[in-house]
Amino acid sequence: MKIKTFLAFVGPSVLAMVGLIAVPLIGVVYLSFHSSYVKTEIVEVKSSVPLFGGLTKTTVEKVPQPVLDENGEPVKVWEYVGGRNFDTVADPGGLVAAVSKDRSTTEDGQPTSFRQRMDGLYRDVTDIDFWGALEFTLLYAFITTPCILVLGFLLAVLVNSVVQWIRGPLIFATLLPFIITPVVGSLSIYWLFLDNALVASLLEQFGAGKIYFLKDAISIRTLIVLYGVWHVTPFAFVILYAGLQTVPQDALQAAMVDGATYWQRIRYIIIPHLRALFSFIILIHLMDAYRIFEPVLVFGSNLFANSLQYLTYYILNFEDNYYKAAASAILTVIGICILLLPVLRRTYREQKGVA
Amino acid sequence: MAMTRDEKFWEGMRWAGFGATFLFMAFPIFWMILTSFKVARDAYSTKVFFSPTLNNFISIFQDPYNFGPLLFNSVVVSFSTVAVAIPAATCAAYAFSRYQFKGKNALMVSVLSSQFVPPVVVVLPFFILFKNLHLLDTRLALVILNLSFVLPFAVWMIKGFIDALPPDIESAAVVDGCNRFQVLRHITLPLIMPGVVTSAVFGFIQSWNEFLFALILTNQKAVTLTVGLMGLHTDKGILWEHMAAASMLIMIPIFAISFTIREYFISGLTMGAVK
Repeated sequence: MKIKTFLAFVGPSVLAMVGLIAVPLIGVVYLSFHSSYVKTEIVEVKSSVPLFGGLTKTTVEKVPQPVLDENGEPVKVWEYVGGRNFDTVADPGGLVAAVSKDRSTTEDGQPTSFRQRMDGLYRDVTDIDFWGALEFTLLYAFITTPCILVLGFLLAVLVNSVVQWIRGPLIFATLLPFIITPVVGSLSIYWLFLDNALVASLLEQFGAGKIYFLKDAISIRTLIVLYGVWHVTPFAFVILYAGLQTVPQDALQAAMVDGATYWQRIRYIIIPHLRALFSFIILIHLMDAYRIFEPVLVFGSNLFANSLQYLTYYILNFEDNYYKAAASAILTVIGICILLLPVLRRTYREQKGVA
Repeated sequence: MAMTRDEKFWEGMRWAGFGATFLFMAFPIFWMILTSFKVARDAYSTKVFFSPTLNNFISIFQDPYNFGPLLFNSVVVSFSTVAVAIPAATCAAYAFSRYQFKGKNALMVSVLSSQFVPPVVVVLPFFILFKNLHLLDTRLALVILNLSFVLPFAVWMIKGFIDALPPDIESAAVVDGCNRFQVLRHITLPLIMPGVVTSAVFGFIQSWNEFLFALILTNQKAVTLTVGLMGLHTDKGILWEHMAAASMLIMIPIFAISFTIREYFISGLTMGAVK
């Protein structure tokens, strides 16, 4: 293929990808270091208040007013602010203060235990929006990842052991939580655990008393993690199931001849064979987990379980601050890069190996 | 051959494992489907047997919900995204597959890496741009932004299908004087059509499920089903029977398409992972 033909073929896609991904990324970096405000000036405003007998009292006040351009629009000033937006989002000063705060005694002067000091430190750090969102995002990523790997693998082994004709419908049924729209998936879990809804009612009928699943941080966080496991396990399952079809049968038969148990075959032949797939699933899932958004919105849980992406959305939508939102978005990207770098390097090496 | 007691026990455990897993996987969706056919007074009950009604499905198309235009927006945005992305991605994937150059692997990993960019990063500058161009709350804005995740994924996926084809089958056509576009159209494309269709279905599902862009960029005219669903919070709280019916409306096309092409769908999901 000639270079000219190559460029003609890839041109539209590459241009679109650059325009839709690379340029916005640069734009967000640029925005995160800038800020804008409406230029104001102090003007003297005279006001006259009529008194009695035809007299008036004139007062002169100095008030700030927006400077208008020739079209009558307020003049906006655009300025470079360095890392100020990052400071506002990540609040390093607040973090240092939270970490260095003296917690050796309680308010009434009693000495505190180690546990109390740690609880206090955790509370003060996670009270800062960004660190609270980072904490739950990482917690979600690191709890759900092993769960989906284990459950996905067990499911793959289970389905692989049934007769061929039933596998297709089983695989499709198992995939449903993954292909379902995330908002709908989040709602379906939320709906089960809502106060007075199915799970709470059934538990009450079985004598467990009234249970409110959405009343505190721990139960809401557990439900969001449960949603994550439910939603992504099918993905891990289908990848690992496909991988199981490629396990060399002669190695398995040789192991059986040598007297290897079922567990030993899994431990020494199947799992090492699927290692690259485990990395692939970790890569994709960590990336997705770091962008968790829908369940936080659906569960209305941002007070108890915020995520970095939700925080950025909140800043953009409710604080109406593009620049701070841009800084928050950049911090999210940096976090993803740090988290994924080891797995990405591995993928790159594998790609190189294939080529 | 009769099973021993031990084998019977493990067989029983296996089926119990199946039962528990599929209950865990399918039950939330099953319960949502059931709720969509319940009347308001039954919505919170644990009844599995009740008099089903279709009124919830009718209600969501009437005032004050009016899901008709939302459905139209979702259909137009999803189809338009696929219509733009798939031809462009097919050409790019073909060229990436057949043209050898230094740094090709790094470029392909960067195409895949583009999926790591959080959507909120993409939407931020476009929000400002669209605001200035008065394109906020338009279907065009959503199509443009949906391309940011559908296009790289489609390039990656279709390239996998083309890589699996030996280049030799194209040589005869090249010798006969076909240009590369003719080769792609008449030789390669018919052979990779299942892959292209699967990529199109994936792109459609991704666009159909998209939520964050629509939430930020639309507020009235171009609102899609996923955002409309979240609008079912009323001053009386969430009307779950309506919410469930609207959820069904969102789920049905995805289930139908996925079921129709389930074989390709599964191979598409594992594409790139299993080599």
